Amino acid sequence: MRERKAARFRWNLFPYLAVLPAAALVIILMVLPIGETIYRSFTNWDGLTSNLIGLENFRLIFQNPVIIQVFVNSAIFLISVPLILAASVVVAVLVYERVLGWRVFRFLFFIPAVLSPVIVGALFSTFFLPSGLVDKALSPVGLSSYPWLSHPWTARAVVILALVWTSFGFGMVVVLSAMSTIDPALYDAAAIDGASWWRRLWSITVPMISGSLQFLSVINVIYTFTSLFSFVYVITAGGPGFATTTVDYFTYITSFENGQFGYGAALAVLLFLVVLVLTIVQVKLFPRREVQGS
Amino acid sequence: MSSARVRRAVVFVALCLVGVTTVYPLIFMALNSMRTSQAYEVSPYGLPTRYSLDNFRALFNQVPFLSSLLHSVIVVVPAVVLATLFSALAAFVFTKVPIRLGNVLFWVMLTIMFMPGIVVLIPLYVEIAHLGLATNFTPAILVYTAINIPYGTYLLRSIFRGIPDAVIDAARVDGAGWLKIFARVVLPMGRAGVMTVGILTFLNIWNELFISVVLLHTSSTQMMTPTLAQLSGRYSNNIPVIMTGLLLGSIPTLLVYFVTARVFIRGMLSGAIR
Amino acid sequence: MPRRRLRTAAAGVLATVLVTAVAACSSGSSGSSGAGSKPTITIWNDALAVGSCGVPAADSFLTRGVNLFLKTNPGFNVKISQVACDASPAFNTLLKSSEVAGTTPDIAQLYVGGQVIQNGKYLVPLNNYLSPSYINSLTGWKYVTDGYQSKPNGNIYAVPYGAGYWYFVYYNKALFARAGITNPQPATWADLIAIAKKLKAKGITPFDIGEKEGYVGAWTQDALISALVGDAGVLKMYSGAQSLDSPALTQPYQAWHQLFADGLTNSDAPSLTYSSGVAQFAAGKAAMNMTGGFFNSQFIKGLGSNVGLFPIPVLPGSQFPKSLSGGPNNAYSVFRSSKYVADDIKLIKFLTTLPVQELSVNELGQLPNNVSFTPSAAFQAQQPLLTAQYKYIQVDHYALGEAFDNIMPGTICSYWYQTNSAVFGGTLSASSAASSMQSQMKSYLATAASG
Repeated sequence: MRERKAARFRWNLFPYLAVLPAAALVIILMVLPIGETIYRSFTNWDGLTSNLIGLENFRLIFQNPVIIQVFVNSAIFLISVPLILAASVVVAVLVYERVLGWRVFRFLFFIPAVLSPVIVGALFSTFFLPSGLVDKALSPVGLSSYPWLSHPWTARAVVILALVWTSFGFGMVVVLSAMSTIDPALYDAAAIDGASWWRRLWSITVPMISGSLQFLSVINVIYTFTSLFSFVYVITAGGPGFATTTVDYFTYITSFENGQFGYGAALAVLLFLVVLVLTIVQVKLFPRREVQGS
Repeated sequence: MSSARVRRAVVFVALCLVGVTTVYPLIFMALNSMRTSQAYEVSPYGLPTRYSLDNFRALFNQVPFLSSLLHSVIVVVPAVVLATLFSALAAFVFTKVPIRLGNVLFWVMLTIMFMPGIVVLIPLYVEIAHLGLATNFTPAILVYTAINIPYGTYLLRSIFRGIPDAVIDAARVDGAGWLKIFARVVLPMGRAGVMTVGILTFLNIWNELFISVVLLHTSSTQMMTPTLAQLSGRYSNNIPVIMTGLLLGSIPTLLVYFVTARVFIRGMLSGAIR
Repeated sequence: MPRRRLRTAAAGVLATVLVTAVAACSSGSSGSSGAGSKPTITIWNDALAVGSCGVPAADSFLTRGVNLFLKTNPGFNVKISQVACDASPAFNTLLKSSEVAGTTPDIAQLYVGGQVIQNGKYLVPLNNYLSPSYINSLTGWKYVTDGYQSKPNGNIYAVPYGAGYWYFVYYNKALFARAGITNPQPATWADLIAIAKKLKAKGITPFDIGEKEGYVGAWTQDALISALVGDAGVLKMYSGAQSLDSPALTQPYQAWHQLFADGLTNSDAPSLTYSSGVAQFAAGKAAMNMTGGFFNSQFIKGLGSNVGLFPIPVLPGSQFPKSLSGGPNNAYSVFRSSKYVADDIKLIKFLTTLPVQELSVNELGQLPNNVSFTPSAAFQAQQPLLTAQYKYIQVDHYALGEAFDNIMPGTICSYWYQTNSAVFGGTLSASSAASSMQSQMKSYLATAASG
């Protein structure tokens, strides 16, 4: 009798103990700080003293023309998301064909994703320096000596290029994994019905992987708003001027370099709201097509 | 030639082109690490004339490579182990143990997954400084663990879902406690997935810049990635030296990838990530 | 099979715990002095502020000065922590985080004005440690004193070091000669632009500028702002009495932008580092550059007697048409957390004595700020550029204005540098930049009000 009670006691406690470490860490190191950030965004905190100043931080943020530009920059970098999705799908489809050496290609294409954005960023910025790799390559065409990193749009293009190069490998694997759930018989049937390769792609493949595409889209949009820090830090330091400064980079400068933590907290809160809204919009707008078995 | 054959040839060529763009930057890094700055200025494409290790030597003397490598290992290894372990436990509870609060906690985690790191870092940074732990590795380890738990739990949840309930029930009938089921049934069966999540977590933490710059910014605790980030600033005029540094910096993650590639790719393709 | 796996897992967890324990106990390789050995004084040195860029720490005047001190005061170890030149913003972050964490050094070498005053609450007021005769033996106390000497007996937070830097246009005599210009003395900014266009017509790049960090814009606009409104005007902006969104800022921004927009500089200026711009000028690639004396020795090394200088000319409506901007740049402060305050001050006083300051002239490119200093003939021969500057000050009696970024708070200055780069490259308009600066200033004043 006691043995059975002991056993029951043990397995009633287990779920709570098992979840405890994860829950404790997440609550203490993430949920509580979020609360504190929200609180501090209404103060003039400098790391030591803090007084409530209401909406003053937010008012100053919206009055600052540079900040508008910074949010616009992050939005501009969203261009990378459809590019990443397209590259991932194209490469996945190519690999799926299983031509000679497809396993090697699959292995190689993930390598950029393994490298740190810092390394990728430094590499790409080196390529685009005056009299660098790209410059010498373009000189026969007469486009040399163009200061890529000195003009806002081309500087952004370099960042986007680095971003796509890093991300397409992961996207490829996700799409391949989704494609593996597609019954090849579907393709055969469509081929017998006379559908061309292109038609098969759009009518069968894309709908079946829509779930993965939505996942990749959400992940990459979030990444654009929250993780371009490394690229910007290394490639352009936010420049030229503020042209490639993203919201998280600007918040870093304001908070950690300038010590205006209340102001930085307000920026962080705004950033979080933007990401939340974008995520909800994407999930509502691009519904996953749940197929049986997936 | 049949159209199918033509198509396969086109595909192969396309794959080769993509392969070149993937691999060439690495080759560029490797080749230029053995050239001199003057040679680079003449032509960025050239091949090294001698196999000189001068750049490597200069770099090791001036940049704290080994110590930042050590610091990265100190922080990343525990964080990966803890994050994977705790995520696995949580995911197991959410999928296999009949319990009510699971869903609520899960959705909380999902929301947090989408959180920009800076939102939590500002107060954490100040609190850690106030506690006098600014030069201690433990806060960074715990922060990295916490930040990677939501994503890990999310991934492992779909992996564990793939384990048939029948196996669990059979073990329960045999009188096994939940912990035993976790360790002896679920973990072994989901081993590939767990390893994949572990490797993804490793890559996420090792390659991450923001948190490591904010939390461990003194020279006595600096990690690998911030050290690499400073290279292009310090050696702006000497591209080959930068390339050498980047090459050395790539080695840890490339090594991990090469060693675990088979298991890793299999795990990724098994349908966990979607 | 399962048991072995469990054992491996247990070993993994154990290893993790061990590593974590080691990590928790070790606090990096921080410089904690061992018990019983000599006490250690730590000095944090921002190389950019001192102009010691490019000089290895071991050869720096600071190291040599400290070693001289230790010969007669052997009871200490001194540890100098020198930050790399391009890590100047990182130095600010480091200071801030060390203040929050309570791990501040004993002595820090800070920028005069904004940086010193902003960190004031962590610094030891030096009034009681400095005798009136000592104070009178050096110049430059105004901007290290609380309130900038607007009220009597303000706290003195730092000892100023060196007479400072004055911002000039440095020019390549040979390239100028090629365009038929000798002894240029443009009085107005428009005259300078005319000269630049003349050079450009002859196929010479007028300016070689690296404006990635925004420092060159700062040095140039310091001069323009000082000429427009003088110290009084900048002090009004510092106290918040005058908005930064005013012609005192927008006019210089506009002039600075025009330089790039008119194609008078190298085309990659917005993303080129300031040190690369300096190096290119020293290599003779362009006719002019604008900076302070930090790079005098680099210029002499590269161009020899081929390099000259003239004051940065002024914009229309300037109150001080013949003026120089700049002033004392660096200062040494003692942190309240230091356990050896009296000894720290002893060391600083030693460093400011004339013999040590004379050691620093070549490296820092600035004159000593000892009142007793007069340049000998030999000195004049060795330092032609400094002597030329000296002439503008002592002989031609140019008005001296304290640089905008010596007066304004450190965070505003950092922000200003970035706007300079943006305005220069044309990605931010002059008016947006000024209004953005005002917004930042208001945020700063709100934060400062609490402390």
